[in-house]
Amino acid sequence: MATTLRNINALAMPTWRRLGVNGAAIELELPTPEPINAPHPTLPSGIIRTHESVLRCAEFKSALSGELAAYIRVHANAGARIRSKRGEIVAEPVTSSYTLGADSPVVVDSNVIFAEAHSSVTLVLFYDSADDSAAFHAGMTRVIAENCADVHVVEVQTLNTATRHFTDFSAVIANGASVSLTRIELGASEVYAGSHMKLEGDKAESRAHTFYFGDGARKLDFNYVARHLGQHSVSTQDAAGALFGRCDKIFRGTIDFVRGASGSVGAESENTLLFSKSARNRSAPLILCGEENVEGSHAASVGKPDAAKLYYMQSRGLSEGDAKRMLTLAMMETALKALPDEDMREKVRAALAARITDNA
Amino acid sequence: MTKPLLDVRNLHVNVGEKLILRGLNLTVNAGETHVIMGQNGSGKSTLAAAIMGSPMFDVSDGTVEFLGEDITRLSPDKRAKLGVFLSFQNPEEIPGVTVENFLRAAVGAVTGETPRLFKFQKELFAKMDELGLDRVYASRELNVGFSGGEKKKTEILQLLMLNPKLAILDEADSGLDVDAVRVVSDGINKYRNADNAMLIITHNQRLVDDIKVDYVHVLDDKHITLTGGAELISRIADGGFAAVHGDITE
Amino acid sequence: MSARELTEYEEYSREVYDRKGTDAPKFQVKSGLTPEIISTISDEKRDPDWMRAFRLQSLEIYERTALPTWGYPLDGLDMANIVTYVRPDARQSHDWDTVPDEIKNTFEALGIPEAERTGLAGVGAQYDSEVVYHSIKQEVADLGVVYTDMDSALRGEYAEMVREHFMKLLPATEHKFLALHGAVWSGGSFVYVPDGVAVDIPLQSYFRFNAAGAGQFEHTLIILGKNASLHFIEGCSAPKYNVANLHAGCVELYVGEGSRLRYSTIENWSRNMYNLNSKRATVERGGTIEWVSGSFGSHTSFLYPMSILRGDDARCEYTGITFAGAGQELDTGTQVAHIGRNTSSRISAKSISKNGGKSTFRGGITVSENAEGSRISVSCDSLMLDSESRSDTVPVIDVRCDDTDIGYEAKIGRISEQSIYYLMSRGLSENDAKGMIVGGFAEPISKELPLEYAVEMNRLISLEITGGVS
Repeated sequence: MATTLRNINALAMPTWRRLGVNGAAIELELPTPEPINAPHPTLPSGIIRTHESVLRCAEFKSALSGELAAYIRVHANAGARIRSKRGEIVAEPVTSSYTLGADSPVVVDSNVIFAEAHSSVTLVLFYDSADDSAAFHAGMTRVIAENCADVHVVEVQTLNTATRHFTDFSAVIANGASVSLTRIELGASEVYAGSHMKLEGDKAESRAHTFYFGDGARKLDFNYVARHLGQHSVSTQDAAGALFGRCDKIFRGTIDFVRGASGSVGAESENTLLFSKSARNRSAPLILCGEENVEGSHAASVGKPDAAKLYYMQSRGLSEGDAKRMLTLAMMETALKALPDEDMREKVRAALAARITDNA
Repeated sequence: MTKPLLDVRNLHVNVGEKLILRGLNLTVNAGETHVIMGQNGSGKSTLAAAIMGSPMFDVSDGTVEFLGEDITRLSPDKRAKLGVFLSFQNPEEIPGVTVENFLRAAVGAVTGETPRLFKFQKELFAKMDELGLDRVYASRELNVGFSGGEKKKTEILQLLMLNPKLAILDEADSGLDVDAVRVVSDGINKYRNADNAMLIITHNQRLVDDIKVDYVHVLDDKHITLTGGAELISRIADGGFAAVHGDITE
Repeated sequence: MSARELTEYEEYSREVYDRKGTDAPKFQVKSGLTPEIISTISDEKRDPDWMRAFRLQSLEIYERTALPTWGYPLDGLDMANIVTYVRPDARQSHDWDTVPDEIKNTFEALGIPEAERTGLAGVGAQYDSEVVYHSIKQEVADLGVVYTDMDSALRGEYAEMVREHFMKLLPATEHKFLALHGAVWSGGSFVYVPDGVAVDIPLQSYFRFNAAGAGQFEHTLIILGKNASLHFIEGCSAPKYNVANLHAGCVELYVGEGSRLRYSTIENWSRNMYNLNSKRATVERGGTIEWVSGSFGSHTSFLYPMSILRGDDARCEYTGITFAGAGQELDTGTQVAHIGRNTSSRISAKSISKNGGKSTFRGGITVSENAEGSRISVSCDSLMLDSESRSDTVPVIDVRCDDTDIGYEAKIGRISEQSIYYLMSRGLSENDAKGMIVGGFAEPISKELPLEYAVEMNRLISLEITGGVS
């Protein structure tokens, strides 16, 4: 069905239209996915399967698009639905890997994590392409973190440049619970990524860490919101990335302190390296504040790599390309820490290094 | 009999749920210099803050009297007007407010009369010269970008300008080099006279080498466990707090 | 000096600003907007033909342009109730003695003639829709500096220059209230500083609004030749009425090569004012625009001075403070377009929200493909004095050039309890401690203002702090 999605990644508070950050309207064919043979991931002990009905849907807000979230809910052909039992600290991740391509052109995954009180769970999602064929991915992860639960979600996307990628994340975080989302976005033709952290409980904590790599004519469009309702809640949003080619990136990061969120702290930071004259980099770091006793901060830096640094590296025999690759890989390291094992990390490093070779 | 300057009775102080001081007693008379010693985290700074009226601490029991008046629930500015002064361990930075403007306002608040600009400046510069503090600091923003030593000197400058009845010095020497400690102790000696008193909080003896000390109190286990004369300082300096542990009688 | 003033809270009230002139206007149009009303304004002002056509065309644009889709609501503003042109019963004069007493007294109370005597190179004073006083010191005029009201400029020696520049930087198509401005503008000042001329002491235009339910739409056009410099001060105030007033002025600044213009504003409109003002500067090679902006008044404000750094090495600085008190919704900020190479901008925005006041910082910075070597630094600081208030920060940075260096920092928070305690431990009352900290917070702005204006700003701040905290 061809449709127009309005207000994808809508900015929490709209501003001048000419800047083009209020939200995208895109026309697309929303495919009706075929069932795919993706077995439900194997579950480590302490984690059981659950059902979407554990969620009260109205509680979850989509930063990406309500319309798209509804589509994913209805048409999902894949997804992990997991529940960690009270007090179970499970270090071993639940891993779902999707390989898109001619055989599997449409993946629509809906993931559910229900972390009972004092439990800990990690979900790792990989999205890769098998070939050069055009494919479509739309995914959504919704998280309930009960009191003092600890949830980690890592998404790694290395899709080919003919594939559209939509990803949405939404968490409701209770007293003392902590949710972290790490996204590593290395490919696709277009990336639309949303994240909505609802810090409902006192001392709730959220962390969103993003690394993006943009090259060619890729469009990268992010919309992250941390909504502080509970007292002494803490949020961080860190994004880092490197832009090559004619890449067009928008990063929206909003800290929203609702009245009553006394003692809360929110911090955003973004660090972008520009390696190209034709890339476009837009940032909209918002702080919305209706509570006196809070601390919000944002820091951003945008620029090309320090010439002195490049020169230093070249003086030690590295080519300019090597140096750029090294700097870009270094930027990804913080995000990579979220991946639970070194093999996975090494694989992602190799994927990025290969992509930079094509550009440098 | 004249009333003591400071009379702390059965002081209990909490931070949130945590009890920091439990039943502390301390009396300071005019003309006396007291030193409070104790290990890190023993509650020395809490005592100072409770006497000054910091909003970060709750006095859950006991009283603080100053010149016979119960000041336990008084706001810090009222205590300052009565003549209490605390030299902060970590003085706050106040952007946009110069040392001079701030001190002129403070002197005005404490004395009830804003001093005339010219006279005030003259006195301020004289005291800055005495402390070896460059006059440019008068127009610098209060504590903003100051080194540790500059902050401590500025605290002593405030002490001299406000001339309180009781000066509490909370780690006034921490992080200072030998020369800076000398400047601070010189400043303190200039301030001291028969009508005022000092309560010096420190965990080392350097600062009090050059100051005449009347009483030394050891703060441990949330209250004062030992009181003695100046000789305690060198005993603690030589052998640590363990060296005086045997003296504890209670 | 500023924080010093704060320590001596003078008895101070809004009385000075709230004084209502009892003079009756000589003429005013009916409320609302129709082609007939626009033509009446043209008749009254004896517009040249092109301006007549311009006004009517602007009205058409106004009618087909929608309200902004963002920002605070403008529901309380009904154009049908706004009188767009009010002519006071006074002819323009170069001599305060010939200004009618009632009007003169208002400006006396605001300290304008006094400021003129002590520290200004020239003064323009507007009362409702018309300029009632305009004067420039002879020695400044002798340098070739032109400082006159817009009506005279439109017809005088510089008519062609005015026509070439009028609403070219800020066209009527830009937004609805600029279209409105194009249709009903009246009053304002024209300044021309020739090549190589440095005006050492400031010029000031003061806009005073006296009529209830009216609008003020003055137009300020400043043109600096090459290697010229000027400091221009704009002041505005009005008494408080129970009906909405509208201010939709337009400020266009042309900064020539190597020139430097500082544009300072202390805005203190009454709390029934919709202040929908537009300001823009274009800066040629090596030129500098400096905005110093204090926003204290009005019910609702939309105000974002924009700097277009067209020439290589052009610079801009924006230093602004916004203080939103009870009932106020102040949406302020700045926009910068980096077009030339090695252009630089430095933005420092502060806001204070109190007693339910809402303030928004809105920023838009664009760096175009060719703006190599551009440097941008932005810092936003917001202070919340209570939890009934709001403070939102909405900046956007749009970079299309890799050789750019951007640093952005924003902080939001309240006055630290520990800082208040520290000041109180030195004898200051809680109010005085807060006042001092807020004054210090505003210091980077007040130090950019001439002394009298800094004093005025600090008075406004202390009035806000002491007026409500206790």
